[in-house]
Amino acid sequence: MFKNYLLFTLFASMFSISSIFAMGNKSQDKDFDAYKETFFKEYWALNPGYAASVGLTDYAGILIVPSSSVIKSETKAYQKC
Amino acid sequence: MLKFKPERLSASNRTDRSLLENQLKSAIWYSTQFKSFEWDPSSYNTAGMFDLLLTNEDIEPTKRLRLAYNILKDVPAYYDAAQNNIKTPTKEHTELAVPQLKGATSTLKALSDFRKKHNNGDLSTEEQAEFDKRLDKATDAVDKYSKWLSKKLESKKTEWRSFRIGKPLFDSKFTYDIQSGYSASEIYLKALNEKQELHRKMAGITTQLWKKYFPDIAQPTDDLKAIKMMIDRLSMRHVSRDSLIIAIRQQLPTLVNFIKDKNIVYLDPSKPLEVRETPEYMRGVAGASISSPGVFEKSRPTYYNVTPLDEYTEEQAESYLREYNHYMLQILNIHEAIPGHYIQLIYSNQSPSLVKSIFGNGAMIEGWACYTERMMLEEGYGATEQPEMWLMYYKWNLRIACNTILDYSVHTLDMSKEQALDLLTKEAFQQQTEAAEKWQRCQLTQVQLCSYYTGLTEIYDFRQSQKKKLGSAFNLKAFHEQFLSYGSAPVPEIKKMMEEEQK
Repeated sequence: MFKNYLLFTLFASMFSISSIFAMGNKSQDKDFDAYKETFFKEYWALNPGYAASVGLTDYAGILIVPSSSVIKSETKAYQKC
Repeated sequence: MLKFKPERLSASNRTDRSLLENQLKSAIWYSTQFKSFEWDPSSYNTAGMFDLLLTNEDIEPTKRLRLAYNILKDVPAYYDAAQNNIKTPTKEHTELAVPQLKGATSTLKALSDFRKKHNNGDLSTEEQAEFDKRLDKATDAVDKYSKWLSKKLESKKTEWRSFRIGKPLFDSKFTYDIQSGYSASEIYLKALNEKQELHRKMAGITTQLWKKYFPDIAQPTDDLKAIKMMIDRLSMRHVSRDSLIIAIRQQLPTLVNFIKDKNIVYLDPSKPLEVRETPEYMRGVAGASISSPGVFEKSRPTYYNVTPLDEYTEEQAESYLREYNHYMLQILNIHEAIPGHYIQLIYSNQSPSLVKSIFGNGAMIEGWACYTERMMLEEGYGATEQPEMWLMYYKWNLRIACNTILDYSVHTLDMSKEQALDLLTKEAFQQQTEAAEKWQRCQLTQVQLCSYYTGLTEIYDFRQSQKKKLGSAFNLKAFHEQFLSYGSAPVPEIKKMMEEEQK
């Protein structure tokens, strides 16, 4: 359930990121920095074990059950990025 | 991601973009092509997660107990999923998984002790009873998964997948994991040439030392035979099996002083290094390793894991200690600790770019550790023990080149166990135990063994080109600190950024 919520959030946020850009020829650094911030939020949600291992203690209490549907959802999430 | 154009990003962001793109493509490739979740039973183990909770001093014990209580609930489902995912495992990964699962059981026992030590934290009476139930169910789940795997090992009907991944998967994995300017086959050919060159250098030193160590024996005309005799003679100088960890602890201050005296790189005294016995669940792949704190961990020290030789017979222990003899142990400490992995990973954690710290490149990390071995000797480390130290370094270097040859040959050219052991013992002069462990590791990992030689080659060549380019303005300490400041980015990316800053 929690996992589904995370994936939904990921799709939603990636969609919103893609709609942010109406780009001209100027530097994209600012937008890219924002993208990275969102990317990491979602990346940690998909990889809480790794997040906890690098010291993000908020993710320490989450164990992802690696069912085949979860693996498929994760792949889809990465493809959307 | 693709909306961001490299030419419209700063140099640092261009690299971040490149790393993120590789990370995403790699994650998709791993889940759709490589699919180790279907054949590697050792990839399922909850020990690491519980161990992290038990040892994480950044979280209050009461909160840790609460988090463990939450996780415990999902452990049975975790191992059920593992069992469902495993289709056709490799025998080698199954054999690794079973003993490592003992570590999962040990951490669950440690969790029970942790709970007692902290008087149940803030768990209510009902939760305490539920904790017991969850703990029992979790222990049963580990046991059930372990027994299921053991049955597969015992049955003659089990269908195993080959541990050799084959050329297409190897080439792709090399591209994603190593991110080098070289392809897998190019670096394999370079390693073959390097082996020959090292044999030539080692033969020269052997001749130089011959009369000192073998005054009454004529030097064999066969170079490999003479080198082996010399290495065997020098390898007799080693610590006892019970003092391995003590010896490692004692050597570290010498390295620290050398780094300071020679102005090689800044060492942050506020980042402690602790030498410890390798935790049980991590054993079985490497004899020594580094567990560095994560980017967001401020208080945890870096652990230098050393596997004790308790499980070894006298013969195995002697073989291991000859491999990590007086000279090699010093090179190991340079590689793992100072100024190798320990220093590099501290710098990496301080990099302003989270992307470069989090998606660390294995070839850069291992390449740096290998580079420091050579650089330290070039700067005069072990000067009173020359040329013996250089001979042993070349032996170590030969191991790195042979790691690449072995990895590529085993996974893509069907090299047999006999051929592999011949390469390691006869051409790389390794002891039997070391060679057997390397064969074991080569069966369990893919591409990782190429990272050392690839990274070393790229870093060393880059430093030499910088020396040539900057002439008298070249400063070794400045080069090291700038090189390390970009986090654990791939060497070709660091090269681009450094050259751009010099414009």
